[in-house]
Amino acid sequence: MISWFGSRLIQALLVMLAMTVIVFIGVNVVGDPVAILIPPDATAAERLRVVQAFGLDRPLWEQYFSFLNGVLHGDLGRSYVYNQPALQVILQRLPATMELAASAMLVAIVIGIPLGLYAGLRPDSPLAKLFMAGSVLGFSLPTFWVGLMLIMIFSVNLGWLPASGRGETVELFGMRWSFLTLDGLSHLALPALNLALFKIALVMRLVRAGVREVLPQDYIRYARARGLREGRVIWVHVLKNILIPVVTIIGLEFGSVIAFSIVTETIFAWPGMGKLIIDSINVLDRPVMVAYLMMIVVIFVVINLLVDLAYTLLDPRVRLAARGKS
Amino acid sequence: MMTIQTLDRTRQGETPAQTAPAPLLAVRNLRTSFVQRGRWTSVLDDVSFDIAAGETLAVVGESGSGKSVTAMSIMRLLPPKTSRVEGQVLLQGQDLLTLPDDAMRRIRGNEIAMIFQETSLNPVYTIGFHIIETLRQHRGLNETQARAEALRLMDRVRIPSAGRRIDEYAHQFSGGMRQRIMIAIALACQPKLLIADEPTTALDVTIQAQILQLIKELQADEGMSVMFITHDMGVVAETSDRTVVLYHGRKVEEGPTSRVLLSPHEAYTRKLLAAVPRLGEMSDSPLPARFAEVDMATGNSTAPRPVVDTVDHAAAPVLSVQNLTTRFDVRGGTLGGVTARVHAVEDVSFDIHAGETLSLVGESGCGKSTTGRSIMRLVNPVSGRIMVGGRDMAGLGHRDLRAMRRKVQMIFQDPVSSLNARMTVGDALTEPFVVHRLGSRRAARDKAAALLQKVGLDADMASRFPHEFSGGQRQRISIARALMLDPQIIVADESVSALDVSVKAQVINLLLDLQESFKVSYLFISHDMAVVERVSHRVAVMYLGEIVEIGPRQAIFDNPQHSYTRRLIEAVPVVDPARRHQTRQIPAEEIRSPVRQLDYTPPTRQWRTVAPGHFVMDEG
Amino acid sequence: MVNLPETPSIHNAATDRPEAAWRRVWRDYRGSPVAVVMLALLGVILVLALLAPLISPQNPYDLMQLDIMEGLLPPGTEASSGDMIYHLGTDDQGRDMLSAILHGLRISLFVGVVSAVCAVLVGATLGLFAAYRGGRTESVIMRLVDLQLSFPTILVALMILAFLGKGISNVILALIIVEWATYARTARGTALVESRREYIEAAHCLGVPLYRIIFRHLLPNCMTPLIVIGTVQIARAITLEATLSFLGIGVPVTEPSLGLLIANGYQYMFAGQYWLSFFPGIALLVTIVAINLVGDRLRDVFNPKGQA
Repeated sequence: MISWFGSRLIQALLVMLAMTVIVFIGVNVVGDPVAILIPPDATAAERLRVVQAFGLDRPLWEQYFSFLNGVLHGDLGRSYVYNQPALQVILQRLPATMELAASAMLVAIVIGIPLGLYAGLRPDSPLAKLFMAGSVLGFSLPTFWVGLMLIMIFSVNLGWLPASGRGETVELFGMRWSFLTLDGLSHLALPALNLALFKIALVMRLVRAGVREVLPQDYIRYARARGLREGRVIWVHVLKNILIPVVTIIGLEFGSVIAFSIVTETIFAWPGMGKLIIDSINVLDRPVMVAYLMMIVVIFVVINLLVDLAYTLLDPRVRLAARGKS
Repeated sequence: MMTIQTLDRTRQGETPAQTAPAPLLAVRNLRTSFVQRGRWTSVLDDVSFDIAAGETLAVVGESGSGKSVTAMSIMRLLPPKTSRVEGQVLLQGQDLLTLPDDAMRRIRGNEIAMIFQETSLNPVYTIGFHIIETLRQHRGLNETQARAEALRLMDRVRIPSAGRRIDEYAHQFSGGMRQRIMIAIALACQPKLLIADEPTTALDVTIQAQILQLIKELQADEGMSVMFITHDMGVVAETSDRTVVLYHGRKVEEGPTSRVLLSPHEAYTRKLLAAVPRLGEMSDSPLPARFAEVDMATGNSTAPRPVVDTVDHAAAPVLSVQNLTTRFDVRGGTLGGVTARVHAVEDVSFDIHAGETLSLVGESGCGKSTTGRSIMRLVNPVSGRIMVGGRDMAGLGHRDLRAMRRKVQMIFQDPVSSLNARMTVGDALTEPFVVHRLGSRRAARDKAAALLQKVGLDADMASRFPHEFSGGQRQRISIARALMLDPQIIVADESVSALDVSVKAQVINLLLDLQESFKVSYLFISHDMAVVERVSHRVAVMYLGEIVEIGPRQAIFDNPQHSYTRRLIEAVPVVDPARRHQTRQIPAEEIRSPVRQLDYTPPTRQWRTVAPGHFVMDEG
Repeated sequence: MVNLPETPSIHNAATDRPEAAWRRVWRDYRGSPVAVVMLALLGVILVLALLAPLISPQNPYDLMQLDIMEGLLPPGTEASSGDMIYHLGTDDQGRDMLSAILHGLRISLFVGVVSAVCAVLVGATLGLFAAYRGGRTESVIMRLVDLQLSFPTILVALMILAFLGKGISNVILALIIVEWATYARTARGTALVESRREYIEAAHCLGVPLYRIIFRHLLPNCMTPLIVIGTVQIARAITLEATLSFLGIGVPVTEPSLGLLIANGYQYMFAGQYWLSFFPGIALLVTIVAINLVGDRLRDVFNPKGQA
């Protein structure tokens, strides 16, 4: 088990290394490296000075290693908009994004799993058909447009919920959170719902498909033939088999929620990483862009690692195979 | 407390059958319908039978006969919305079909236990979990008591080192062991009736023999009744006191098993029995034999046309396999390195003459299919020679191989997937002829039409797609396709195993007809000893990648020398009612695996000649 | 093939084949009235997009035709010139929203379809190649696919566009890079499953040449999942393009897709001028729902559960 985890860890590090190469190529080969280091309105003399100071005349591989060195030391350059280290700018916004993403995922799970179970167990009931039709809509509605409509309905027309910002925050563990105050929660409601909508549809369909797949299995028929209560058949025998893929997908989707928070944060002016990256792209604050990308890579690699671990712990077939290898 | 309950139950079960005419289970006018495309379609029609206490009833039929539906109807396990069950199912006089759901649930697993094919354990729970769950549900034991009882039950069905294995998962057990676990669960509540739905169909024949024996023993100990659902007449003879024959949802015949097997009244039963090969009935002739045909209308059977000797012993063999060895690497570990090796085929040699059928027989993992696939070069052998018409197939490049493949053809097991669903039968048949440039398209079509008729289909079926045909018809199409190239040798890899009994007999008759017409040789690969006896001139028995015994069919079946050959023959269920009350001591042995360590070197083998052409590997 | 012989009717087999297969698909497809309506709707949308320059009441990008004084008129207002009615209102520059939406639809569909078609070609080719070659080629391609698919599409596209800058061709390129991996995985998976099926082995045994096995046997049987996924992926490509454009990093302002139209109307929504964002959104939504439902139906038709 430990050696299995070790090998996964090595794989994860390799992925991160590969991503530094890709980001480096993106910035230095595809993009214009000079533009990363100096503001677009710099003079020609300044330009030349920077090119020499940063060694942009050196071979690419040398430049890559100094970039890698910077990454390893947490030095990703300074933002020219905020005039702070880029990494620090990102880290300040991280809690807001995490709060939003976690709330959205929670909403998706709390709504998606029961609806999916219902639709899977009673596929012919009108309610189940309604859920499924709703899920097609949930899949099809572009997140940003739903966000606009939510604002139009709940903020502009009804005036129930605020449409921008985090509202009142409270400090906890040295970070500021919205969900601990009533005002903060009201600010969180619309963005979280917006971000969750697609995932509700996804979780629901996944659970429903799982139920439809597991129900006709021999072991379910066998559980009934042994006289087990229907409740036990569903909650013990069906559910655990479904939960294994569902937990995996939910874990992976958490990463996707963080990515899609870019859209939601932009619409609801939620001061997280996503809004920051769009603002930075628009003003060409490239050190922040690079820092964002590296941060995202780390988050994703960690999520993938945790999901692998969870999957392995849940499914005896995989767990035993992993143990066999160690 | 527990023991008293046990004793009590045992006494109840021991009610002498002769004094108690009241049956344990009485099925009366059972009629089951399913919703299909919005309409109610009857799948069981007016089926009635009794099971007496302590008796074993076999319910036998081919696919679509409704035998499994019968069991599901009795247990009320069919989905209530899409199915309807009418009639009466009386368990000791109490009608199960009218019981409230909760009361019915207390019958299931408790009064009536059921076992299915061995793949029915939930993969994410330990086997202990399954047994304990059942015990707690019906017997109200606490966790500790239930665990102790579970261990006792596992010992009872002879699962070695139960204490360690109770916390393992189903996938860590072999098929036979999984079936033992299911039997242990069935015994958990000392049921009055055990319904066994094809419990041994997926198991190897020696494992099947162990399981059948175990069920028989436990039945005698517990005094329970058994309802045994099977398609296999041998299993019927081996296990049952009385037999019910189902056909298209109707009961066609019922009676004591010996009477049904020896003097069947109904045409369908006769047809079914005529299609069943009986091990040992061929000892008076060295040649294969066709199956008798039974007219469904009159029930009269026409004696099969005798087989002529098609083997050309004088000429050189058409196929000569010499020292064939095929191994596969098992990869694993973090770096995907080779961790072990499957010695699938190890130093196998044999010849086949023109017009001869050599059968490769053995259990799963013995390498019989890999031998066939190596000859076809679907897998590449590690070493050895495959001589066809004086040329070695083993070393040929792509182009030469294509040309050589005209001479050796293959028929596969699965009639569904061996035809391309997107091609008409006509296209499928003409394609090989056209790509080998054997003649014009018109010649190809004419030949395809002629061959379709030859295999018993209509020439105008060529414009249809494979999904419009039944399994047996598709297998005929595959055979016709193989014949398009006028091959000398046909490798038939379990080609009749997936077919129903009566269809199987027809396809075997067809193979024998074609051998007579075209003097084609067969390499007949099968796990079914009785079928092998029927079709072969010679037989090779494979075990763990090696041929352990090879010789004329009569010699192998009448005078088997290798202990494995003997074990294999003994394990086959025979259609002989006398076997019902035989008890045999069969050790709980598992099928061994041909996966070896990397440093494994196969031992050098010594061979003994029993009689001319009959060789056996020395055991030691 | 010159004179038809009288012997059995085997001869029309070859001509019957494709027709029969597609007729069967259509017959099954028709089973769902909703799906038929959606297919028709999709046809109408396609025609509208293709004919946009001909049928739209004004050319929304000819600045000469626009009058800033006609800006932000609600739906149903008659133009001051009296020669047309703004059925869906006007935007801030006095542009007829209906015309803008028809042109926007054209751009959205163009980007979605072109990127999906290119991505299918690239992805399926690489996937089949990986399945066929196996070994190192396969593991390199598939590791790349895994790596890419472990990051959400929007992030990858965002990253690419951040480096490349705006523009229709850049968006298409980004979408191809984002989507090829899905097709590669599907194509390889299907090809591996199919190539182990017995009819492929049978074809090998019958001495059918390799190219013919690949193109005549393997490929047609791998097409259905690609078609199904392709349909759904077009919808996803259109959504993604709209999202990127909404974020201001997709298509340029001179060639506004539906996403950009929605973005442009965003600020006016707070003032109650909903039509600037609402109607392009409806157009986008209807298009995507129609494609998704057609895709859903195709999946049901191609993978019938009770198939023998």
